Amino acid sequence: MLGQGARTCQRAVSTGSLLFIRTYHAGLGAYPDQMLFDVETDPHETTNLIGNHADEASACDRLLAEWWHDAVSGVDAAPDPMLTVMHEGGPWYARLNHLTFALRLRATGRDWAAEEIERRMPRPSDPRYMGELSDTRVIRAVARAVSPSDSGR
Amino acid sequence: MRIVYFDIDTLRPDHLDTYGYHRATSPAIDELARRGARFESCYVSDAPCLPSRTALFSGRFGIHNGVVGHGGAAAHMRYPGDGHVTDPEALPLPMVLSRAGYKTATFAQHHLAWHFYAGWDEIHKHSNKNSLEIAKDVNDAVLPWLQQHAREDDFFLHINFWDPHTPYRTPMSFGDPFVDEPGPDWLTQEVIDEHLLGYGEFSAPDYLDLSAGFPRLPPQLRNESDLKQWIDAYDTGIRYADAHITQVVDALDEAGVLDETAIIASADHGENQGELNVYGDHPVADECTSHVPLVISWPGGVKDRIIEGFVYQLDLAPTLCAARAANPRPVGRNLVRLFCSW
Repeated sequence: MLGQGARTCQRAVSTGSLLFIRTYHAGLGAYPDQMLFDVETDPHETTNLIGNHADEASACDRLLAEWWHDAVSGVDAAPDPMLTVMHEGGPWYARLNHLTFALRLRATGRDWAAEEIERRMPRPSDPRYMGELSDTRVIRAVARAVSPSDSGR
Repeated sequence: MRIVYFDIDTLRPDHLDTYGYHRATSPAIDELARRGARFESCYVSDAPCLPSRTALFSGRFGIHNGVVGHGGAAAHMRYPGDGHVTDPEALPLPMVLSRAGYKTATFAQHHLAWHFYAGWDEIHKHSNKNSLEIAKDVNDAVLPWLQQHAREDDFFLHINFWDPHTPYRTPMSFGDPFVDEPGPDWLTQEVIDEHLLGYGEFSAPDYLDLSAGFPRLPPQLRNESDLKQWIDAYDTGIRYADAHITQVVDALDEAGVLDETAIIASADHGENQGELNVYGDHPVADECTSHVPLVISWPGGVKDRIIEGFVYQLDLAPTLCAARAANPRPVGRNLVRLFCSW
């Protein structure tokens, strides 16, 4: 059982040769909701097998679900912090940084990608950002929006 | 027992020659593997840096210790107790070892988390460069400490090198040890061209040019020659950190305690170098981010042994507690019998 919650929200199951990854939040990247790799024959994860190996994928998915049910049951149960990250509006490094990143994507002709990211992030007016309004990421995003010629991150 | 833990940030096992890499990036780690055990399949439960170290030192998964992120509520560890009452089974590893009589010392920054400092008798803040420090900055503090303390009986010394983490900044005076060796063969122009059509932090088209401040870095990632320069810089960071492992091992040898010192080398996470269109970061829960090296050279333990089975890095918490007969841990697996027969 593997996890990531800083730049994306993902949990993964490794069976040794197979690696199944479920993406809850893709952050500022392009990751499918489910991925399955044969890391033994494809160590660089070039071929997502999810479409062709549905049985293996759902077996891994069931292991993931069982692990989660176990983790949130019994005497050590506690709220899953991965859901806290989702509830806060997405991975820390994606939050608000998505504003400048979307500007960059639009400036380089990738509006479709900017829209993809904006769909997964709370709108800039979302009250969840209220505590972060003095955040340097916001100040940077505003500066870039005022002067869009400087569209780098 | 003396325990030295080399915590090398951002180290992919398949970039170490002891794990089969084609470049000689790690003579010191290879020597440790010959003196002890190399774990083939060690994984961090929770990537990246902060969740990983929290899992290691708490001996618990992020879903239980509360830390899976680098900010917000999910970056705060659940306090193992309440008020004056603490749960002895949930104390951080350095605190357990400290209560068992060890001197616990860390040479590391706090990794975004004040809870990282819990349990250390000594916290050595060797520079204000944070993650831009180089291994020399660390050893400038570690080596004098060893001169003073290496002969003492029980210590747990945690040394954190950062050189394989971006931005690659090994001093130019260290040279370019891999310039004449080929780069990664799977990253063909065809693969790069496909990556250039995508997007994402750390993707090829969104590469952030820092070459003005960091001369080892290419200004762009658009062709095989850029990629070779990029991987050369990563591997040189590994080689540079490894050279500083040698300095510490030599200091233990000079003090006459090398054979009585347990030495562990591992990483907080691996690194994606092109996989999933991520160049030089660890933003996912895949093989490249989660698989870490683990080498344990243990007094009286096995020599030159490869251990195949899956282990979690957080298993080191129950392992080191068991080695010292400290409090047993409720989570994780004691690995001692895999590398030592007592």
